[in-house]
Amino acid sequence: MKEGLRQEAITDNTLRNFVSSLLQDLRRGERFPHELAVAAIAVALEGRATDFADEFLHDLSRLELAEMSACIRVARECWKDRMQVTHTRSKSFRLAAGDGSLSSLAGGSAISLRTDVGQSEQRFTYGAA
Amino acid sequence: MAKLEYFIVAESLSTDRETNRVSVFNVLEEITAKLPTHFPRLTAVSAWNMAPEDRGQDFQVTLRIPQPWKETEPKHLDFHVNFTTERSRHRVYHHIEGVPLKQGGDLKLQVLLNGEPVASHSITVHDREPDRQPEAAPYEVV
Repeated sequence: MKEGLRQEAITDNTLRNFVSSLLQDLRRGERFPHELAVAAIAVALEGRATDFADEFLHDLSRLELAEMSACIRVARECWKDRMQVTHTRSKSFRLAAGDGSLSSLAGGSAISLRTDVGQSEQRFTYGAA
Repeated sequence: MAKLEYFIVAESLSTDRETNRVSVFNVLEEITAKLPTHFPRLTAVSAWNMAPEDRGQDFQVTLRIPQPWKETEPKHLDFHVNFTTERSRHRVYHHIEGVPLKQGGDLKLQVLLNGEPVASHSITVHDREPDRQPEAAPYEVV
């Protein structure tokens, strides 16, 4: 979706209409069936610099509806991250026991990768096992 | 072009998830160790101010740790972090465990942006003398 927005294959207006159609299925006392879709839209709009992205995240994050609490929580996180001026990139390296030489580094391998919404973190281990 | 706001090397740091504030603990300035040894954990933080034209561009921040005792080139270790941002500020954390430390003196850690040195942080390493026997009493009581 982010790629579609970036390439303008999807427009803000398309999303606005799509969300409006989804909300027609919102019923009091029933779990909103399109929470995942709305949450995905929130994540896709988090870094988008348009009035619609602002309006969507701002309004959704302020709702108090048990029927769609999950996507509201996602929107709150996206809104909070959108409002933060500073973003963080974090990466962990571990040199294996031994001389930690560059040749060992070159032969290193990634053991895990974790990426969070908003903040990102990677972990790598280098060197001989 | 991105401009460095600050660069510092410490033992650890913490970022408040609510406020996004960073706290740096135990800035490494001077250490005494029985050599050779290694840093159990070292954390470098660099904060960058991004110009409007930097948005969406790819950047590589490198932490360079000298290893002057090595017999072959390059006599340093490089740790790269790549990022792209749409924000006006960006922090980069390098967390490194097990960096070898084999001789005393000033260890000048550098931060590079796209391969160009931008700033440095020096740590003075003192080689602790080998354990000494307790000195003999200057006189003996009889």
